[in-house]
Amino acid sequence: MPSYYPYTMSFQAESTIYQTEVRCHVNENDFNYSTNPSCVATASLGSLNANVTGSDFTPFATTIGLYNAQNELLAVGKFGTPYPIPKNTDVTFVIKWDS
Amino acid sequence: MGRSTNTLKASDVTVTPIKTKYSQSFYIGDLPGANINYYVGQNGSLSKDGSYGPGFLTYRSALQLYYVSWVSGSQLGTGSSWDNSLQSTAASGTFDDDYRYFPTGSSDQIIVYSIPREVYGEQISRGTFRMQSVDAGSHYNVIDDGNGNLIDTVNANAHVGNILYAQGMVIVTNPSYLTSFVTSVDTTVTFRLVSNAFEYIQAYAVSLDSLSPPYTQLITNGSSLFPNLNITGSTQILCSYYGLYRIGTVFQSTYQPNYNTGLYGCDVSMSDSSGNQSHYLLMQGSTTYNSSNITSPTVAGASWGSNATSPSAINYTVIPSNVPISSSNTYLDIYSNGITTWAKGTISIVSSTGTPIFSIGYAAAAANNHNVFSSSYDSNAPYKLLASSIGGASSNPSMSVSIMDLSSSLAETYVIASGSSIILGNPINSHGWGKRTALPSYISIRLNSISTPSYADVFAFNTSAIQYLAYPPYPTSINLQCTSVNSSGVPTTNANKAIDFNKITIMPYTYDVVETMNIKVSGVTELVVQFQYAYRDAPFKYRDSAGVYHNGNFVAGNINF
Repeated sequence: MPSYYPYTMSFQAESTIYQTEVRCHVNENDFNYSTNPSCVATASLGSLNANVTGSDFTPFATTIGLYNAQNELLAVGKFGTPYPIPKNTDVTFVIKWDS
Repeated sequence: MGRSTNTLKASDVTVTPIKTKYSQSFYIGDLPGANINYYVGQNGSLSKDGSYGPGFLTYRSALQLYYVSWVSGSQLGTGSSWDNSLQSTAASGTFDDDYRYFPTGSSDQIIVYSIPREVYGEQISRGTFRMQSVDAGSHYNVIDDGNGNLIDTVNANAHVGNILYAQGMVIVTNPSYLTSFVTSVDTTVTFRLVSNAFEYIQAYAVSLDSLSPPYTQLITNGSSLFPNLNITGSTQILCSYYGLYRIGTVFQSTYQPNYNTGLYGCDVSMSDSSGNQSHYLLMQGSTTYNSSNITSPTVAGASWGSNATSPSAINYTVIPSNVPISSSNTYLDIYSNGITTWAKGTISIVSSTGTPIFSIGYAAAAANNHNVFSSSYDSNAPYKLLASSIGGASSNPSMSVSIMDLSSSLAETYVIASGSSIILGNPINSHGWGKRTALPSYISIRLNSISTPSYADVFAFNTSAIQYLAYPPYPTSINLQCTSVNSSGVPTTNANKAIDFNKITIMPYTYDVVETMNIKVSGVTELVVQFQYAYRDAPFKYRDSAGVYHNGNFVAGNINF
């Protein structure tokens, strides 16, 4: 039988991770309003600047936050680049994370 | 920043489990660092007072947890609810059966590897485990078959033991493999080194699995690491400060015996009765004087004593007396690695033209290509430099220099060509000897036979160095000796008179004061050399026996303190 000889021990370890996927739907004509201060006219409270009231104006989404029922922020997903919210089309953002 | 909200529905959220696999690989010496421990279990019995032998608990635990249902006469593990941790659901005796064998003979042994969960995760992935000898699996290649069996694919698919994937346990139960991965319990190896001319001893400790990096344990009698290590027959064996280090597949350490007594009759035995691991120590030696003095370190041989378990292999290297010191030969490097930088002294010898001839010391050892049979540094021992036999054939004029340590009455000498200068390096300063407890008792430079004398042959000493030697409590004397002199006090090869230069009397040195060294023969001044501070390129004077003064110059480049 084999005499002593140094060796290496190798194997593959196994672990389970859980991937959570959340689909955030934006229906057409939803999320088409922005309260960004740059959109608000300073002359009269509540009015918008003229450049954001045209039919071509589309807000850009930059961040999606996930909140619980108590309105506490649980998770934040950020886009690589701001994404324009389409006016007449549904859009679904899919957020994934591993735990 | 604006915010709009929408409400998620349950159907918008899905959670998917994903099984991941990741590779783990460890060299045997790295297992402890990963908290992968192995234990040698040994069958035995409890004594009346409840004590038990080494490995008893490991053996009994493995038996009870995983093998009890397969051992005849077992009392436990027979209930229907007993969990044998079977790794296969196949029926007993089928091809995919989880085969369980457990040795039950008196003092039978097993090996249990325990892998922590942080390493293997939820379980060791089936069919991925491997223990392979580092020679690409030529000795053994043990893999798991996916059903909990360990199979050696290079040795007739022998069943080696079992693996429990979810528990992270690897159990070697085949008696033939007990010494394949570790040495056995209570291994005792005894060596005898028979030569009294060993300049160094190298000890190879194989299977030092319990050592943790950086492998700097000092192996001494009765250490906690080797509680049964016994060194007898010699005053001491010093483990170099460099400690153990790994070369290839073994751990190696360099030992330096007592310089004066060698290792004559040195018996070294080592055993480990803890039961957790065992070791054996391989020692090898070389002599610098005569290769015939070297006894081949065959462990079981009469000259080297006997051992209970023969190691599988012995690494044996003889350093011959004429080994050249080169960049590929780092023996000196090994010796001096334990010395801090400031203490790494050098002795350099340059020719009368300033050409480097020989230098010994840490930095220069690899650079010179002259024959040096011995050079030793030991941070734990009195400082000493040894060197010999360079240049200076018998037909040529030569001179020698010796550097002594306090504890030695022996001298080793350089022999260099006439006209050369000797440069005493940084040991002669406050950062060298001045900080060591063992200062040189004296420095002796001897002109053996100068056939073509010139006053350039007179050595120049850095008077600041003399100063360090002069301050008490260190003994102070500088001896310059010539084997003979001519009528002018110049060393020659003709006369047969000895000159004692032990007459440097102006101490301590004071800057800007001219120092005078009187060299006398039989009480009559033959030669007077005057030193001046910043003597490099500065004139010195000497006076012959007739009282006539002569001017000379110390040659720049030959003096380098």
